[in-house]
Amino acid sequence: MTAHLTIDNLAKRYASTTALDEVSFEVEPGELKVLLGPSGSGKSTVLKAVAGLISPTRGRVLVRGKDITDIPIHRRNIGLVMQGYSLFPHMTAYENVAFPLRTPMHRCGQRDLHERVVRMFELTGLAGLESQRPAELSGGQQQRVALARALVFSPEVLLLDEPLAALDRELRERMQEEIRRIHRTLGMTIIYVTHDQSEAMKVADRIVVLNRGRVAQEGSAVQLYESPIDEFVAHFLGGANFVTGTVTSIRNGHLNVEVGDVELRVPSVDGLRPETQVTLMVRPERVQVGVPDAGSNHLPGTVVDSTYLGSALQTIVSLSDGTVWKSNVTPARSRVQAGAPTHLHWRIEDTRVLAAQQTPTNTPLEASNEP
Amino acid sequence: MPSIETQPHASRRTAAAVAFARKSRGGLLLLLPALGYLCLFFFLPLVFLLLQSALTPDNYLRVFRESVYLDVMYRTARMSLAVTGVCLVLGYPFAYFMSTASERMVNVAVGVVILPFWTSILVRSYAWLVLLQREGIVNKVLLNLKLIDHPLKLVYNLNGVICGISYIMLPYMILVLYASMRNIDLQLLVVARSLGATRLRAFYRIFVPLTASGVMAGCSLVFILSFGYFITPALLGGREQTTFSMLIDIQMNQLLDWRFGATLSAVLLLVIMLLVVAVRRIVRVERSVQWIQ
Repeated sequence: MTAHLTIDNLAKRYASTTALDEVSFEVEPGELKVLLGPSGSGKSTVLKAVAGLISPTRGRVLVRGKDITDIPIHRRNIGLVMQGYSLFPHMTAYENVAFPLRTPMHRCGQRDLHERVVRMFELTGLAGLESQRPAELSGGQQQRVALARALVFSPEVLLLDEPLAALDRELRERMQEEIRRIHRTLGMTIIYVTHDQSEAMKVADRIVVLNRGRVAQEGSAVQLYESPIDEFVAHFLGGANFVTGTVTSIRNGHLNVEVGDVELRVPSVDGLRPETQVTLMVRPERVQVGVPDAGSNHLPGTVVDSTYLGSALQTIVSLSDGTVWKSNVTPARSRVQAGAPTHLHWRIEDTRVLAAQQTPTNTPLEASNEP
Repeated sequence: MPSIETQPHASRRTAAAVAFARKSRGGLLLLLPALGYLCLFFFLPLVFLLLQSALTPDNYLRVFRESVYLDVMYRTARMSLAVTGVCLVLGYPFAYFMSTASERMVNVAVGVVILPFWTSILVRSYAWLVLLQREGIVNKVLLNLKLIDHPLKLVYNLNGVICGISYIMLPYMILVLYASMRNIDLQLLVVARSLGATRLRAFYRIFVPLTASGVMAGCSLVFILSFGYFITPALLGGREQTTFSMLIDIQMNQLLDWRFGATLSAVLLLVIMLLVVAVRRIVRVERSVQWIQ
C-alpha cells in the first residue's frame, strides 16, 4: 500500500533561523496523524509546506506518489483549518461552506452544491445555523463551520493547525471526540498539529514528535509513552523520572546498571556494552514509595513533599545525588512525612533505557517562541 | 517621521482600566475649552447666518427659480463625484499596499501621504498651475518628446480642477481606506486560497467586500469635502467650473448681498447634511439586508 502523503526530507531555512532541519514521514490513507511538539519545533512549518503557504528550501511533498511541492496553493486540493478558524465575516455560515464549491477549482452545479453543503451541515451538527454569520456563532460552532468548509470539496488531505487551541477545556474535549467521529465517518486522511500531548494521545492514530525541526520519534501513543526514544520524548509525553548510570554487566537478558552504590536491573537493549553511560527512565505512576518488594528495582531517597491529587498521591523524593523523582500512585493513600528517609521501588520491566542525547534537553517549559 | 501604531493595544484597555481612567479624568470638564471655542466661533456665527437668511424667505425661492444656482449645484456634484472616483482609483491600491507592507514601509508611506499637509493649499494649487499651464512643465515635456504638436489645454478647465482637488483629497481617502484595511485578517485570504480561490478571486470575494464600509466612509468624506471646496477650483478652473461655494463668494464679496449669500450657504449646508444622512441610510440598509439574507 502506498502512502497517501509523503513528506520527503523537508527543510525550511529563513535568513537567521532554521524552521525545519530535515523531516520525513508518511501518512497512510485514512490515518489521523498528529504532529506534536513545542512551539518552534517546526510542526506548523510542515503543515504550511503541505498546504503550499510556504515553499520549502529543500525536500518534497508527495500525494499518492505525485510531487506537489511546486503546485500553487489553490490547486492542491487540500483542506486547511487554522487556529483562528478564519471564517469570512461578511458571509453566512452557509455561504462560508459553499465558498470552495464556487471557485473554478471545485465548481459544481447549483443543486449539487446545495446538497453537498447541506450534507456537511448535517455531518458537523450545524443544521439550522445556515443563515447565521460567524459573529453570531459560538466558538465551537465556528470551529464546526471551519471544518465543514474544509471538508465540503472532498479534499485529498485535511490539515488542522491547533484547531482547538481557542476553546475552553470542556468544549475542547467534546470537539476532540467530534473530530474522531468525522474522521471515522469520512475515512479522511488528516494531519493534526498540536502542542498538547494529551490532545495528541486522544485523537491520534499515530503521532510524530518533532523537536527543533527534526522528527524525534514516530509511533502510536502507547509506543511513545511506554518506549520513548530519548529524554525529550519521555518528558514531552507526560511526567518522567530520569537517572544516569553505568552498565556493569549483561546477564540473562538483563542489563545491570550501577547508579551510585546501587545496582539496578533493566530489560536488555541491543548494542549496549559494559562501561557505557546510560540514562534510565521510569514513569511516575509506576514508582512506589516505601519498603521494596524482592526482585524489584529500588533507590533510597528523602521525601521532599507529598500531595494529595484526588486520583493519585504524588510524592516528591530527592535521591542521594540531588535528583528529584516523582511518584504518582493510585489509590491515594495517606501522605508521607516530609524529610523522612524512604525507598522508591518499581518493576524491572518498567525501566527504560534512553538513547544518548545529542543536544541538550528541550523541555516544553523552556520552549522558544515560534517564528 | 510620523508613525502609526500598527499593533492594536486593545488588551491593555481592559474595562477596569478604562473605568479607572474615566474616574480620574475630571469627566466632561476637559471637553469645555474645545466646546466653548466651537460655540463662540462656529455655532454662534452659523446661527446668525441662518437667521439672516431667514429674514428674506423669498431668497430661498430665488435659488430654485433662477436656473443658474441648481445648475451650478449639479455641476459641483458632478465634479465632486469625478474627484471621488479619481481618489478611489488612486487611493485603493496604495492603501492595499500599506495594509500588507512591513511596519517600516508603512511609516514611510504614511509620511509620504501626510507630507503635503505641511505646505499651504494655496501654494500647492499654484504649483499645479505651474505644471499644467500652456507654457508649463507638462506641456513642455510632451512637446519636446514630440508627443504633441501644440500645447494641450490642461488648466482653467475641468481637467485642472480634478487634478488639483484630487491631489488635495487623496490623503484623506488613503488614510480612511488604510484604517479599514489594516483591521482585515490577512489569514482570510490564505484560507480562501487553500479552498480553491485564485489570488484575484480571494481579493475581490473576500478583501474587497470587507473594505466596503471603509470605501463608503472614504468616498463620502472626499465627496463632501470637495462639494464645499473653494480655493482650488477658483484657481485652476475656468468659468464652467464655477462651484457653489464660489457663487456664495460672489454674493458676499463682490455683490455685497450678504442676505442672499447667507441663503446660498444655508442651502449648501442643507444639501450636504442630506447627503450625509442618505449615505448613512444606504450603509445601514446594506448591512440589514446582509443580516436578513
